[in-house]
Amino acid sequence: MGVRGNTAMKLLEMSDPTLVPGSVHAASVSVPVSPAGLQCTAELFLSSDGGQTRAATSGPIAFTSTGDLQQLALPVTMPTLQGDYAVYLLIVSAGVNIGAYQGKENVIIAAPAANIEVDSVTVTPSQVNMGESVVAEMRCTNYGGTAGSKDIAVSVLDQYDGGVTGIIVPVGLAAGQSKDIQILTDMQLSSAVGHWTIVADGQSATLDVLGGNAGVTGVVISSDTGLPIQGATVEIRGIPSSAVQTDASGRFTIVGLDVSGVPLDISFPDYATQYLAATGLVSGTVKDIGTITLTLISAIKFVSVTMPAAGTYAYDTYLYVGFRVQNISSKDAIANLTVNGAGASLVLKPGEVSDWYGTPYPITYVCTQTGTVTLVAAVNGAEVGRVTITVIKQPTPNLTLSWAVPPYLDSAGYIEWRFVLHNPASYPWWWYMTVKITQPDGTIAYAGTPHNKQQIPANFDWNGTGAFTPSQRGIHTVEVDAAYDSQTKTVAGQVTV
Amino acid sequence: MKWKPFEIRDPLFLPGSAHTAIARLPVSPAGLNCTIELFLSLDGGQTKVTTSGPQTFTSGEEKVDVSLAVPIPTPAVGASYGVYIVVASGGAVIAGFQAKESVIVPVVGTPDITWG
Repeated sequence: MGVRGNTAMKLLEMSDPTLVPGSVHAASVSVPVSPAGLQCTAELFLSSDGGQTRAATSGPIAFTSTGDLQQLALPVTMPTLQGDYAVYLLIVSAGVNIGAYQGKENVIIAAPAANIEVDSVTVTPSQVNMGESVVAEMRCTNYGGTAGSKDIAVSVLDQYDGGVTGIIVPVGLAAGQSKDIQILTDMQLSSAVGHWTIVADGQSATLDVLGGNAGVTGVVISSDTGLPIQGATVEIRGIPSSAVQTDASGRFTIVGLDVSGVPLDISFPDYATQYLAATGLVSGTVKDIGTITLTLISAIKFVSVTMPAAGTYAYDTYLYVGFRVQNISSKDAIANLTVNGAGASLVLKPGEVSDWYGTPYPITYVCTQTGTVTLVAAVNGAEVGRVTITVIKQPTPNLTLSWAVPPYLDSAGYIEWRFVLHNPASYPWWWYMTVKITQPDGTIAYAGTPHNKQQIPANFDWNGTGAFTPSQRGIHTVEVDAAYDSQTKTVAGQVTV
Repeated sequence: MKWKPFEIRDPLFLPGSAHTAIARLPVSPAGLNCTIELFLSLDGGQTKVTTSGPQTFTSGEEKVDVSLAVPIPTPAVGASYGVYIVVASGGAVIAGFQAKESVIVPVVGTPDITWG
């Protein structure tokens, strides 16, 4: 009986394997078929002509659907003819083709090939003196299915500028064989002082060569002060063990260099590291190279930053980012402290730290952007701190404002009052408080700062007090306003002076 | 409604396909104006998943063939549907039948293939 039903092939993802002609491989097919209990067959076949001809097939493999994902093993003997084969899968039940699929990738049938790779490069020992014996090897393995050979490119990167010396090492290995192969001779490797990197097929190892019989001396000074720098480090590039320090007069002497030329790095914290090519050296002597000036990277040195804790904050909350920076130069310097654009520019005296009453200098960030906000703290444009917060805006609570003690004239001649602002919400809120006094002649005076922003804690009675010194006789009207967004609460009372 | 059993083949239909059932049934007396409806249900005939709608015919001395076209649903997972036939005349149901076998609509999810 012929198969009817679906003929349109759906595409499915599949690995893109390369398999050996005539080999047997089981395709593991994971497929959900429903409803449960259907008697089905699954057939996987390879074809090089769009599915017309089966070059290899599992044949129909019977299974009963479970209604859920189930695993089917479909063994296929690969074609003997090399080439690319499309993969097809047919699911049939009761003579009806209920699922037809084609893999997006093909199976490649190819004869086995050699696959030689470099597993590692080793240099033993990793530090020697000039002319000493050293062994450099690379471990190679043939991961392919047949014997073969490969030319491995070996490079030696020098310590000056990454310049390359290259050689080709031919490697022949049987299938599955691993072998250590010497890649450079002793004299090639230890013939010059420096830090060398040997690279083969992406694997690498380093070799430090010391023990030359020339040297250099000099004095290191600061670009900022012109004075000697004590404690600056002078070393052969890439070899920390060669390091020497400058003394109180800024002088250093480094020996063990090679007359063929050695790169030196001169460094000190907060200064740009300076490169010096020590050339023209003479065997058995120390060459004086004079004064070397290190350039101060920045007059402003970042010390620390205190960021708000990550978390959720209410709209309009004030957050504070604390900065501590220091002017490390000999002249006044400007520190631009910013948090998401808001900030301050401080002029610091030499040696001065940006403390503000003994605490890190604060920059205020007001939470007026809702949602996820990333706060970025920067000093002179360089990021020094980062935290992500969430800002939510809750409904404005219906606060109540009332007199605790209405305005009255006390025995000393002052107008005094007390009021209560109650926040009934389960979260704190901010209100702008204004106490306005209308004097007998109609002029307005304020007690305290108009629009003073005040946070009222959750479920809290906030008690406000105030006093005013009258300068006129007659009726004074005292009005307290608490405002936020479109809401304004007001209480008012009169006092006759 | 009390359903009387009737025999059908146990067909397997692809989701979304259209099929026509031929109902051959004797109804007497001759000359009655009748309707016949075939529908598929998953809940014992309570809910019609898909239906031919009422098709009219007139009863005769011989059995009458009526074509009932039913679109097959496209469920997310395969299912077996009960098959029901309702015959009515003059607004009154005169017979209800439930097939002994079900219509099977299979669904195959996207397979995943790995080579061993």
